[in-house]
Amino acid sequence: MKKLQLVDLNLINAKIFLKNEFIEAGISIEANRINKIAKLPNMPKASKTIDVNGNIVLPGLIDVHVHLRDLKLSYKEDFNTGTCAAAAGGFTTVLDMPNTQPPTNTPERLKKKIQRAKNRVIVNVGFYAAFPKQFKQIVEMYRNGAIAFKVFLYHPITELDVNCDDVLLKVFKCAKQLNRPVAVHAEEGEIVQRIEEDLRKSGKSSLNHHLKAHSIKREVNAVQRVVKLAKQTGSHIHFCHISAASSIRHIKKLKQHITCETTPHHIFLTKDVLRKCGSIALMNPPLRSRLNTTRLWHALNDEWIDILASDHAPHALQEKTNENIWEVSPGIPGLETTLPLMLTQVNNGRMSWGRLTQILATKPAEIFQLNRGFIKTGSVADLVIVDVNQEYKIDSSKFYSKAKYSPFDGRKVKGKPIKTFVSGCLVYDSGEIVSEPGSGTILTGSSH
Amino acid sequence: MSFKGRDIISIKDFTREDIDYVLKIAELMEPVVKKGSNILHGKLLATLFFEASTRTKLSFEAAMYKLGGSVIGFAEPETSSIKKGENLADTVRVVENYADVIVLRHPLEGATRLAAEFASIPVINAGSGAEEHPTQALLDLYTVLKEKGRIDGLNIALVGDLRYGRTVHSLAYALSLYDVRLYLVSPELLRMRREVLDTIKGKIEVIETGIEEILQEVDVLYVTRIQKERFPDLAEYAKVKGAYKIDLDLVKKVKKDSIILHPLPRVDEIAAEVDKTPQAKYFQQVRNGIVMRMGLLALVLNAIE
Repeated sequence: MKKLQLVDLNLINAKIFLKNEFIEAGISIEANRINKIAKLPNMPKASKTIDVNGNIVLPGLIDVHVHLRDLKLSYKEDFNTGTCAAAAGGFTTVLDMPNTQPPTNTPERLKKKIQRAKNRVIVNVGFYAAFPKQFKQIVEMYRNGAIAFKVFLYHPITELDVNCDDVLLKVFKCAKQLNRPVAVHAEEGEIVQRIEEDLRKSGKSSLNHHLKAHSIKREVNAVQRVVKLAKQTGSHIHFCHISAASSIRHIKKLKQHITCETTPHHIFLTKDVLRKCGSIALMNPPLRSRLNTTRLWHALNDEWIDILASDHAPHALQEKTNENIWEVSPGIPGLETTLPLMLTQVNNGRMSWGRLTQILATKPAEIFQLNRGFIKTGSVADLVIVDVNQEYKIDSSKFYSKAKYSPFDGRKVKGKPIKTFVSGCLVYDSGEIVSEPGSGTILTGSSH
Repeated sequence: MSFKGRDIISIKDFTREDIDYVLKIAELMEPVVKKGSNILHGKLLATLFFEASTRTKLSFEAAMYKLGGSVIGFAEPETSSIKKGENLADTVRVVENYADVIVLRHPLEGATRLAAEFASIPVINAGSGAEEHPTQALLDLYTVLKEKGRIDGLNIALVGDLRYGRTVHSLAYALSLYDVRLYLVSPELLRMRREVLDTIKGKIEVIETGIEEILQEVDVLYVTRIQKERFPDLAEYAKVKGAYKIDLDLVKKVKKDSIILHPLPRVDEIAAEVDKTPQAKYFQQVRNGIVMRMGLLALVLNAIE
């Protein structure tokens, strides 16, 4: 007797990006996973059917560089608003940074953070951990769920001395034993902080002074130092927000275990934007010259840079506007602008669909071993549906993020995420968040 | 390393070691340009030019004579038996009975490779279709090396017609074997060919950009003529002609120790006023052409190792 099959959900009438080409088919979802990809007559019966209207289905996007804040910084962003912003931006998985209040630098704090996030997030979240003071606690961080480790060379949040090569060598080795990547904010922190202090003391506090303190050289030098150490240990190092095109050649000398990301603002905005937007557009590392921006774009497209990450770094608006640049909090929200900006490039023929899904889904998942980022039978049904034809202007007042400002405000874009599915559940639908807090999964490094 | 009997068809057949070796041999030829030599005495070069060219042909012929060899050939296929319908393979099989080496230029892509397959003597590609011009690329590299002292670490811009200009295709392939940053500056219509881009992008940093942005950055500005004869539509030619003109104002903005190269002939893409600037090296390039070709002839005819 033929077994009666009734799956949870059918997405029909979809254009699915599979193995570098589009196919017109439907996706059946059963128990949070993709059960079948087939033409309509071959699809199983489902308890619910959603007509995608011929729109494009991509794997749910993955943003490996997000500051969800929460805890004492909940006024900037919290686990719910941050993940709502993610869902609205087409991201089904985000990795959260540990420079919170209190910082995620002990096993206990990580545990508490995960506990708090559990019932609040609506997309999947993995947590970075800063290195704890005692080396033996590193394993505990991992067991408590750290998906990866993060080293801030500028304003470190670990009590370890990150300026000491031996310390970095040691923590890199530990991470390697645990098979976890170490993400690095590469700037020569000590020097930058000293220059900042000198400038501040002499009353020099303009945007140009900020650029001066965070010059390209500071990044390139830090990259070189870390690459050298990575070579010695063989650990997987992932460079965060590469802003200086000249950094790339140092990174790519060791292709296998060193990866890097750049951000939408570093490939789309130049320092000229500072004149227009002022300190709103202040971030670390800062915006660079037009040529540098062009070079970064090509490097991303040509696979020298592995992935794109938003560096979603929300702040309260009053923290972003101050005459004195040293009082301004660096960072901008990025979860809700990244995909529309990139879809616009794909629409203009400047990037292929294949590369887009690579840099925002497949590769981030590979680098952080997330076991998602693709559409295939048996995989977790994290999906985003995009309407490639919608033209509109970016409007930060409509962000789900608490940070309602953006240097991209008013920019014309073409292409919009319209539905986001996390583990087979619709969480975002045409401008509305449609799921309850807690629908996202906490991803941990030790569970795979 | 031996180049004896080797065909020089495409720069893609070269490894970096090959190129470095050829550049070294060219340097050995420097003193010979003036005083001449007899190492190719009794050897005969056949120049088969199925397409118009003055300087490449003259350069090869001069190189051959400077080394004591002799030259036969044609530059007007109308006067040869090609007119009577003889095919390329037959032409080559006839000529190889007279000559020791063939230099061939042909309007069709792939023609030189075909000729080399039929010929038992070495064939040197002097330009085939819009495809490649390997000896030009070698002399360009030699010029860069001579003027800048190195190739690795340089920022090099290719400017103008990157689509139909065969010299830039070969040069781009050759540069991708070195550690350089390559800027590509061209009108949309004349962008670098996809197959070239696809090959070089994974090897070196390639940036398509505007000219103003890179003036302060570049060590080598390689300018090409926007070739009228390559355009299917003359209205399109009119549109892009002169779009990338190098004049004195522009040269003032480049680095003092940068160099400007051009495969010549030029029309008006480099103003005559630029010729006097210390950056202008395109006539030195011509001289380096004969040095390089002397080296190549000596190598394939096994007169030097």
